[in-house]
Amino acid sequence: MKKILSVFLVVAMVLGVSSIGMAEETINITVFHYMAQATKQAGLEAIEQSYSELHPNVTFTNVYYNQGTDYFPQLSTALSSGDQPNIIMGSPGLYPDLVSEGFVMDLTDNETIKAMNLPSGDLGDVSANGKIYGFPIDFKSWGIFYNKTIFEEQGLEVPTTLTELNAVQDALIEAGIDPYVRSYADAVYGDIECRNTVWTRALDAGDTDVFEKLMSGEKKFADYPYFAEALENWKMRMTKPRTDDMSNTQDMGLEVFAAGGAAMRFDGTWAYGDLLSKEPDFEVGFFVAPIDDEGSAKMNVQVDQSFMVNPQAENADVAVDFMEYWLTQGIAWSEISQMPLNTGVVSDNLQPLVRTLAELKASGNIAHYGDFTMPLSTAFTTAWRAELTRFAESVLTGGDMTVEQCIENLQAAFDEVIELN
Amino acid sequence: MTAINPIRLDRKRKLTRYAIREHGGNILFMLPAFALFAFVVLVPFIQSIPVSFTDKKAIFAKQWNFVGLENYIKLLKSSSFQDSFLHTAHFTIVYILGANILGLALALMIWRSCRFNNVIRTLLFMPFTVSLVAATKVWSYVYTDVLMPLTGMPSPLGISSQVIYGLAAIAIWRDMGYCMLIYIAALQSIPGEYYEAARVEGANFWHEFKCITLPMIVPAITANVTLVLSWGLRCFDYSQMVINMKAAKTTAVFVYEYIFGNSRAGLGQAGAIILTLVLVILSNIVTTVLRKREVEV
Amino acid sequence: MAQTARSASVYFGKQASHPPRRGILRKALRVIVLLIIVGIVLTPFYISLLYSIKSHSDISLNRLAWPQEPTLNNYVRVIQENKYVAIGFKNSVLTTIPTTLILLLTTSMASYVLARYNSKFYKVMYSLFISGVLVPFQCIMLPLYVNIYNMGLASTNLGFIIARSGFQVSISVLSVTGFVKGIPRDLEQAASIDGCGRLRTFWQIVFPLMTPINVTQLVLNTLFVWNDYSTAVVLLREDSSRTLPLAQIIYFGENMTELNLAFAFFMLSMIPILILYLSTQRFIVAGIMSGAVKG
Repeated sequence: MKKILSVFLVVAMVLGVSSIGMAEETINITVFHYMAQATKQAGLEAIEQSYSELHPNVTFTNVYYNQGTDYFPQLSTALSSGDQPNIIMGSPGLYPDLVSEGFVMDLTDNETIKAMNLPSGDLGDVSANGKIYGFPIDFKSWGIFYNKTIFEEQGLEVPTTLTELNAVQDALIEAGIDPYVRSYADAVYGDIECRNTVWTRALDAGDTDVFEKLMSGEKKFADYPYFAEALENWKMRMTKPRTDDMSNTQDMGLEVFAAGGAAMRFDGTWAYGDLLSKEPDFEVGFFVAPIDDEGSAKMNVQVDQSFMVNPQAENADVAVDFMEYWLTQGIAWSEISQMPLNTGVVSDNLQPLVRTLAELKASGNIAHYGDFTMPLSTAFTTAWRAELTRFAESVLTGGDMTVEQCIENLQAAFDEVIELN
Repeated sequence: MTAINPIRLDRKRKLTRYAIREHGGNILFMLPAFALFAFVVLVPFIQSIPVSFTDKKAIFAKQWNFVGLENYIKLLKSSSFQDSFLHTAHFTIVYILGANILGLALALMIWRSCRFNNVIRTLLFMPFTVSLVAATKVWSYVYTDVLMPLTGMPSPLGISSQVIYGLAAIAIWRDMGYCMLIYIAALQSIPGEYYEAARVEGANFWHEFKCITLPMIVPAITANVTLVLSWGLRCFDYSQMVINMKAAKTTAVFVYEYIFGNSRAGLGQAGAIILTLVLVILSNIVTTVLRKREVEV
Repeated sequence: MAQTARSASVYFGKQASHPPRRGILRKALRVIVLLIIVGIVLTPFYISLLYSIKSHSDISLNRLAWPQEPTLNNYVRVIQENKYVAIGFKNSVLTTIPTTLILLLTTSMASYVLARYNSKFYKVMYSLFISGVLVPFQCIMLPLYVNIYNMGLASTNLGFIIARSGFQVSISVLSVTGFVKGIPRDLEQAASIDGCGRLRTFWQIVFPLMTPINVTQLVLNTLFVWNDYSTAVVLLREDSSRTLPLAQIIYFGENMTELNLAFAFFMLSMIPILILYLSTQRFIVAGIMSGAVKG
């Protein structure tokens, strides 16, 4: 016992002495972010490094937290103790309290952002109460990734209407191939399967305030027919379930898809890099999921990486300067992270799909989240996704939940959140 | 009146002085541990109470209003908060039963000490050395990569009606070894003569178990149930692992979401205090009930 | 010393032995059942090991088969590519050792008093200590961080050591007090008659008698501190202060893209703990068994 104790003590002392920090005189910029992918983290470091080469006195500290569980809690804890990060990842709409408490800088008059001539949606995604609070770097979308090899072998064409998609699914099932591999253990997947229909229809109908009204309780899900339509479209795609659909995480699903275990996969563009890192030679195509037979579906666009500057932290001007640099010189970021820039700048080092996305967005035939008056807040997003997961579970496991019931459940869940607000 | 015995008085004074010295010494003995405990648990807990009576939104908000018991009333009425308690209770019951029944069954099989049994004990306790985060991640693969191909059944973590059992299985896997060790200790402390006497009277295994073993290990049951109860009711990591499954949201996760994620610090804190109260009351009841059944050897 | 000898003998089975009542067939059945259970319990370890020594393509091809070419490449990559591994390892060692030592000293003293005195004051103190087991961490996470930050101890090893010790006090007091109650008082009384001071009596007489539970506490607390994620994620914000469990969020985050690296990391962080556990398991098993029941 004494021996163990003394060994412990000696080790503790020796190591303890070596852990004394040193102060630095340079300017340090702290970036709070939730970019989980290694490629994105590498992209951030690359852009920081090239900025530091121009400004040798500026160094960076990146603080990563998992978005779903730790990011906002840790950010809030830091802010409430006076521990002030300089740059905060996220959109002001998602974190309205940051705006109301003055933790993010008003960028409405920022000359660099103005000069970019970004479309209203891009700015909408980084705005709250009509003011701009974030730098919109790049964007994401979602749709159906398909295995080109399987499509060629089966003689299938990329479907452009709902009927054609249905026929493709049936042909695949006929050939004994799973049409999709799904990942509903990750909450976001039910959400993106519905967005296509909801965003397109809502913006076409001019319901830019749909989410605002649902959150205030002024309107109900049943008031907007396209929620039921979205569920119907999604239900049609939930044909031929696999046993792993409900328990797959994004990664597990991608693994199956990359190995040729299914012909299609509804996924976000963020998964593209991961897919290629799993199977560099994978022949993959992408199309926007059709929502009817008239070709009404539009590509969804949502600003992905958005960064806000904290005016209460020291050296806020340096943080702004760095973000302006990123917004204008972001191609290095784009090449490493394979994320399409909002500015539309492309280079040869980008994957073909990334370039296609950038071009599609530039064409303007898109449904942009930023064109809604208000995004769903965290509490409502959680409720919305949990109900969609329940719907998926019921449909995939042969349960009896109807679209109407799901709409009712969604309404009940929202009412519950409203009541607690 | 004046006839006070000077010697007795002196002794009394000495006793008091001795008592002061003794208790003072005791307090000094407890002080370091208490200071740590107070700084980390007690003081923050007390600090957190006032917030639960306000409408504070984000935890970094600088302004808030006093709203009295409104948060508590809202929560007690809220069906999602009630549901979270049901899920927590469900999980805890399965967890307590599983960890204790399996722990006891294993203990009954290997309580005698021999080399083989000692090795088995060591192996069965190994899961307890794994962190919760790692345990949940590894198990999600056990379910999908082992169980699914073997049985053709989907992973319980994706099925609303099974998810609580799926999570409890992980918790039981991790902690039944701990319960088992405590049961082994209790079994070893039962004097062998009791069984001999019973056997002379022709008792079978079940009789022995019911009339000797069970009454004699009640202290171990108390210890295990109390500990597992407190772990179960505070269940957070397991539930957070399947965050989008409504059927598995526990109170601890609800509280965390409201304090931090949803920026309703006042409401969430009130939920945390209700949870703590329930924990204290429940574990007191359990301990009292079980203590009554303990027999002195 | 009597106590030490007793609990050791409990473990090695020289003490009570109930008469066995089974034939060879039942014996064999028992062994088979036990081996099956051990097999099930160890499955997650097998999977972790398997995935950590398979190459990526090997995992996707045939998940559960033994790898055609077992490789340590994943381990090498984790150590080389994850900049948090080295820092995390250093910080984990630097915080775990002091925390367990602090707990050893403080809780053994406190538990000694709590076990020996039965007046109301001590009962209340005991309940207070024990109630710490019941407070959900989410409830105190924020005030704790604010206090630690205001003391300038956020993202420092010292801050983490203090917080982690404070959390562990309750559960340690619970089991150590139970153990001390089982130690006979004769020796202490003899010592105090001989004019030994309180502190000396404790250190020279009682503390050595507590060795089994102390070793157990050292190891169990090492487990809890080494594996701690929730306290660490709150208190240790700066990269340079992060412990090993925080280094794994790179792999165990929302998008766990490199399964084999994740498992290699998991195995790496498990190895020190497993070595510690396997080399001290006799004492742990004996200590847990002797401490917990008498409470």
